[in-house]
Amino acid sequence: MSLRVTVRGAGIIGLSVAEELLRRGHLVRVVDPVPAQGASFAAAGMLSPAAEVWHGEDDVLRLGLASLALWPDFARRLGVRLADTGTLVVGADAGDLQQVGRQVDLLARHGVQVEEWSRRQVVEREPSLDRVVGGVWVPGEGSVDPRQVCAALLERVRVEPEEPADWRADVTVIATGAVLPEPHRHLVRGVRGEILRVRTDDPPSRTVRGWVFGEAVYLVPRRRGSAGLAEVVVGATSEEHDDRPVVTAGGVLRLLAAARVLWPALDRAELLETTARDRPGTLDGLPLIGPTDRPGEWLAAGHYRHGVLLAPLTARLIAEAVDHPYSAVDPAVDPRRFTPREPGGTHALHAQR
Amino acid sequence: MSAPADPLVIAGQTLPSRLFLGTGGLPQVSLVAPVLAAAEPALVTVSMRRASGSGVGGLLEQVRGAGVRVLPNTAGCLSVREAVLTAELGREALETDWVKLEVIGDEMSLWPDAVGLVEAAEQLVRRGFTVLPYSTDDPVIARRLVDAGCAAVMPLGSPIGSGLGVLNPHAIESVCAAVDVPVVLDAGVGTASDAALAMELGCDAVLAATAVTRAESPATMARALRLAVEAGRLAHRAGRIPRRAVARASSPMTGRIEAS
Repeated sequence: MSLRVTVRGAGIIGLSVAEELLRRGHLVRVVDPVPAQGASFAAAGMLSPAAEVWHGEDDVLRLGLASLALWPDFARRLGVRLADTGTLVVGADAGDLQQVGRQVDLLARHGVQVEEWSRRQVVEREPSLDRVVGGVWVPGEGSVDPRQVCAALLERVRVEPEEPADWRADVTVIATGAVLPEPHRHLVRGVRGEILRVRTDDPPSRTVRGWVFGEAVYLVPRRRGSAGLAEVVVGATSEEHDDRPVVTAGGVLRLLAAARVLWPALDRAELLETTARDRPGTLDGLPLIGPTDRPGEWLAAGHYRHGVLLAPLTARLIAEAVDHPYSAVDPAVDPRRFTPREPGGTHALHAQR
Repeated sequence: MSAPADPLVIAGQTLPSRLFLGTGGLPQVSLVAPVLAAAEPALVTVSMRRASGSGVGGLLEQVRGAGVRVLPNTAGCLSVREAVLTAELGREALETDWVKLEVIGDEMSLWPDAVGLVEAAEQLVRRGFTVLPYSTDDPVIARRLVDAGCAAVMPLGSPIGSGLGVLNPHAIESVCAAVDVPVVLDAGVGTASDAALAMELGCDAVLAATAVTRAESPATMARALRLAVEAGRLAHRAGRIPRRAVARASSPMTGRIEAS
């Protein structure tokens, strides 16, 4: 049965949801006055569920691995390049390498295969990283350029600045990222991230996630053909704040200082862009995907650091739920997990007022 | 038999425990509630940069929701002026005169600038603040800070976030002996025994942040630290035995039953 669906928000999540619904034959209107300009515009596009996971994030890993498996077909369909050279996790000193080791132990517990590389092996395979003391390689992971993905989606999905007055939707999917309309506003807060883009002739060949004297930093290379130059994305800061997301000098300084320790060639790179956007953070770091307590109103939001990775999975979950309205919702992402149950009953994650 | 009431009092205010907590680095905001329940902290320090204002669903809201006292700090401030301005910001935003004062002298080690600290403390005390300064483990500086009007002193056990524990126990003991305000061991705690040692040396409280936030199970480490602080405090009050070079039988030799 074909339904009429409004998707509010044309970031990578809203666009992916709309594209999947259109493929399944639904009538879809996407509404956003400034498409693809939120967190998707800043995102580095890492598809690295394992290299990014931390203790207590089992559900993030599970969802991320499920979505990673969907990415090759999704990228092929959209005609975007997917780099699949894996993720290299490195440390700048012995303390950082201990931190890498803790992550390896965690991944082993989840049955994720990684290769431990000595300093010499790292430098043989990634000569531009000659300051690191060692690391691990997580095969099977990769990256995409989120701006390219959004552009490809925008070719397939028409976006309107506002909802047409004569349009009556059966289902509305709210995919407005960090700023949700009432009564959902309290479910997501903005967590500022600053990120840099540089151009270089000496990029690493894989995504690099590094610990540098206790600070986390990552490098995501993108081959750009012309004259052998590549773009490298350097990210990202993370800050709880209430203000407009602006790039701070201190944020840029911290990123450059940490990245340069791992990758000395950064010195000669051309600084192309500094960007700040709010990540849509939820209380438990997991997204909100599925129905709310309001009939016909659904959420696909709050993806925090994982929006690009989780886009195809989110599209599939929403589309499946639209096609099969009485199917069960994964409790880990069910937006109603934050709704207080009955009076007196406390919900551990119930937001305070 | 329970120990006699032994509350921590700072600037005339009785605090509910002897563990201070920093929760800024927790991987998920939803961990704040279980960590606070496990730690039962006297207060939670909040960096004025991380937690500016009300952030719906953010860290500050969670801490306040749990009913725990909030102590704004001036983390990351590199000058007296910056620290004083940040303290004013904290007073306005969090509506408290208390401030944990940090003036960092070196970015690599995050080592306190002792001279700047005394100067900033003097200014803030004049402006009506209750000042708890993060300082070096130096008894002379500690005395200068008390002279400046600080309500407590917070010497470091080892550099912030290093997890190296109390590297100079004698210095911490000396600070405890030098001042008549509460001494809060700040920075360096990596695990429970570090906190217990600080309390045995005579500290009145311990602050932990990274030890909890970057532990694999933050709530479990929070509980371990609470128990360690309590154990260390009791041991300090119990009066430990002297250290001896030779063995001394634990049962007296006289009055033993003869096996005839």
